[in-house]
Amino acid sequence: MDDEESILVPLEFLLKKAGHEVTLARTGEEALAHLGTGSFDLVVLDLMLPGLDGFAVLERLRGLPTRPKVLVLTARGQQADRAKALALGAEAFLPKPFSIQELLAQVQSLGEEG
Amino acid sequence: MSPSLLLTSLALYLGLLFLVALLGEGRGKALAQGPWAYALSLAVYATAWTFMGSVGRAATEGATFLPIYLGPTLVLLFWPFLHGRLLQLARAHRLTSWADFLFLRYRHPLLGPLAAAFLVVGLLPYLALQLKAIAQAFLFLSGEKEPLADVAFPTALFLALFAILFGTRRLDPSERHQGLVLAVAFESLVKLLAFLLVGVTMLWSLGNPFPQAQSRPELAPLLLPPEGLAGYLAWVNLVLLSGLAFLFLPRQFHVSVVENVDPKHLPLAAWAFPLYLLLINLPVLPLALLGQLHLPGENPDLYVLALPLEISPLLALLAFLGGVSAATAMVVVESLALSILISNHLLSPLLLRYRALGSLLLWRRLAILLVMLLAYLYFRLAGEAYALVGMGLISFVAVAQLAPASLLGLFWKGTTPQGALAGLLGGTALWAYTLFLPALARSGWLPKGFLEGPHPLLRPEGLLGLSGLDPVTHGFLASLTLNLTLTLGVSLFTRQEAPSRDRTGEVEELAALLRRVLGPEAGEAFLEQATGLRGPEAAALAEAWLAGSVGPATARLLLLSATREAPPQALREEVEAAARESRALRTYAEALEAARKELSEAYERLKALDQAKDELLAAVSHELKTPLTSVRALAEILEAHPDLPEEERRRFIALLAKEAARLSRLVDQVLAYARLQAGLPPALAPTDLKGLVEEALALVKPLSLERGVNMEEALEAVHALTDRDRVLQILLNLLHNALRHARRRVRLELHRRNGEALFRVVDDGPGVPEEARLRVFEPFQSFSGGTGLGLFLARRLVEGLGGRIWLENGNGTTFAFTLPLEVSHEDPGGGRRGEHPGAPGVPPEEGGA
Repeated sequence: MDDEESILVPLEFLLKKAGHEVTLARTGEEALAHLGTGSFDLVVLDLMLPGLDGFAVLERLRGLPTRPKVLVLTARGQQADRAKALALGAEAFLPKPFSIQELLAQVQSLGEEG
Repeated sequence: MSPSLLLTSLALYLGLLFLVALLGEGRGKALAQGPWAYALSLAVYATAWTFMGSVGRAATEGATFLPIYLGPTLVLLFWPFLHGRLLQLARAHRLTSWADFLFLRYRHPLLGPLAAAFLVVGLLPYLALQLKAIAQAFLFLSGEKEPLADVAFPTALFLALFAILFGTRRLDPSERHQGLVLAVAFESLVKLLAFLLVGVTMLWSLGNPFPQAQSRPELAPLLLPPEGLAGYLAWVNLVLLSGLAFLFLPRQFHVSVVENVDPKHLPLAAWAFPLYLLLINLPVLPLALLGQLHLPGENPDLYVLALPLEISPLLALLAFLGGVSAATAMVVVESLALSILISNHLLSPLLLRYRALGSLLLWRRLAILLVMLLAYLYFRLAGEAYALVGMGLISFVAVAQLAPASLLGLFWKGTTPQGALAGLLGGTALWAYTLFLPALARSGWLPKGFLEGPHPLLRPEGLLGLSGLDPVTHGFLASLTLNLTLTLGVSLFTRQEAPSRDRTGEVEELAALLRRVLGPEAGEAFLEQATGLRGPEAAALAEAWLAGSVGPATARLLLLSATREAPPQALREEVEAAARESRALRTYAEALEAARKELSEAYERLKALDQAKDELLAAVSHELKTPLTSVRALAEILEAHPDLPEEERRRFIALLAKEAARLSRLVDQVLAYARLQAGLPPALAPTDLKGLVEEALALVKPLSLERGVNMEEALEAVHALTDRDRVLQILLNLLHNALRHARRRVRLELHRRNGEALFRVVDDGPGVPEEARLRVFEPFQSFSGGTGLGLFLARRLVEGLGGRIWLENGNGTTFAFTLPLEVSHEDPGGGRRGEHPGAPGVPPEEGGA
């Protein structure tokens, strides 16, 4: 999920191309609503969201019975954000700007682990 | 009773008083500033003289103790008229004493110092009286037989110390001492309760003295009114005298005017204080009669102690503490008031001349010590010869000499400085001749022949051959008559000077003077208040401010330099420098505190700014990285998938273009910010504003289409001499901001208003939250996830071009800004004639730079 269309569109394209089923969400609330209705293997999460931010979404995710894996994307590549995201249970962390290879490799490895 | 027990209980009681004073400056501040504390603090009027001397006087002269309390009671009838006016004056001019008033009213350089010096001398008997009362009481209760003077000296030192501790702990420009007021009020309550308790207990245990007195013919005169003309005259005189004393005693002025926090306290005091006097006088006559009946041969001034001692030492101790606390309160307040007088009117002007001004607080303390030592000296010289009340009355007559000049000055415009001076000098001389010096002569310090006078008509206690009047009545009548006659007579025969022209001054000059002497803040504050005032009013205001800080005499001297009658430059500089030093000393602690505060505030501001810069960096990098990610991903996709369907390909390329535009906009903003920081001047050129607005609208069109926001415009043709690029940047910043928040529409208006171009950017979004309105133009204050630079930049740019920008009230958000037109009338060569109202028919579209 991301609040920027310009990120969502290429990500959707790439993930679909890699054979995943993709649901888009623009806000934290939207994402949580989707997570409540179906089961997901992976959440790709931007930290800076309007309203409920990425950290809050991570925290809510921990309470779910079947928790999907989380790949965190952020433009704020600071160590503190990384540590906080990982502490809150994110499996992987990808600072922007990233290449599509990096992204696909991360998604791939997370899928294999699961 | 052992002296150590007396001293211990005394120390404990004074310690308690000190705690009360501390309470008054701390948590009990509200109490100390209340109407009851004010009313009770007026009762500092009742001293050891009331507590012990009244009974003594009643036992020897009957009811003549009463007029001393009837006077103030009658004065309180006029209280609302007189005091309201006085309070107003005191507040406006920061008066600290009647001497200040005389100086202010007559502007004669001699009046202030003369009145001050005279008050100091005139009050010595009164202070000596307190010493005598305490020393007498102490010796009586302890049973020691030391000479009175040996006890009086330590008492004087002790009281001086106490006054210094109470009144000069710190320097307050308003000369208010909340702690002192509360302590005095507390002490008033203690002496009243102690006195009433003694009275009630004595009546209870010794029985009603009035029936017994009937059978003792020698006591009958005590219960009857005074007889004959002399008696009536004495009675009326005492009422008048005590009324004037109540008004003009420095300590009374201090508690009733200087320490007054709120004029609304007057109505309560106007009935509560007479009630207090009534209550404290109830036991006087019974105690006097009981003393005469049961303790013949005892000093009547000591009945208040001797009677309780018959029953219980504890009650006698209570009476002792009541008397001592009455004396202490009087001495503390009186010597404080006198020390203010001395430092403001005698020491400061002198020291300023010689630039020897040290710590004012130290001078105050020394003044208190000096006053007490002089009082002791007077006590040594004259004290033994007089009863308590007699000594006090000599001071009363002295104080009453201020009345003609003050009261006439307050209510009659015709009083002249010469009249006031003549009256005061004449009254003073006669007071000394009829009362002060005879007291010394009676004690053997002047030849006895002095009392006979150089001529039978000039006998000090019987001028013009008068006889049969008691000395106080005689001295009072003589000195006040002469005083009043001289004040009125000389005033009538001297010409009222034209309203002092020298008191007018330019506001700027006055502000500069205040800035030099009192510091820059005072100068600014003065400018704010005095702008618009006429010259004399501004000068009066400046003088009042100076007077509150350096005393009226010095203030006057300082003011001369800023007004028309300029003194020699050298003196002026010297006085100013010295006044500055005095001011600096006074405000040293204040300044230190202020500096500390400022430093910590500056530190906080720097910290916040630093943090804001960090946040800006983070925000800018976030803003950069998001479009960069998108561009990179889209480019890589396009590269890796050359076989994409045409439709998807176009979509990706459109996104790519949009993100690239976003990046360049961001870079523009950061660069504009950097330029602003560098302070480059605007590049002014004739500009077609309407054309510029249309250009800006075209630039944001893609964004508005994408957001589904309808753009509206209402544009007049306006041309201006301005920086084209900067105006475009302003418009883009405001439009982007509006588009980011709008629901359906954004409207841009351009009008010509009062020689300015007025722009308005309106959106129908949620509007700026109330708490954020003030901060929208500050840097790094982002409320929408933007860089937080757009509006800040817009403001800086607008102001750099000589315009104003603001946020208007209403639904949605409306930013408006103006730009000056500044178009020269000759055609600068761009064919821009359209903006001239006098050039009709030229289509505005033709313009453009």
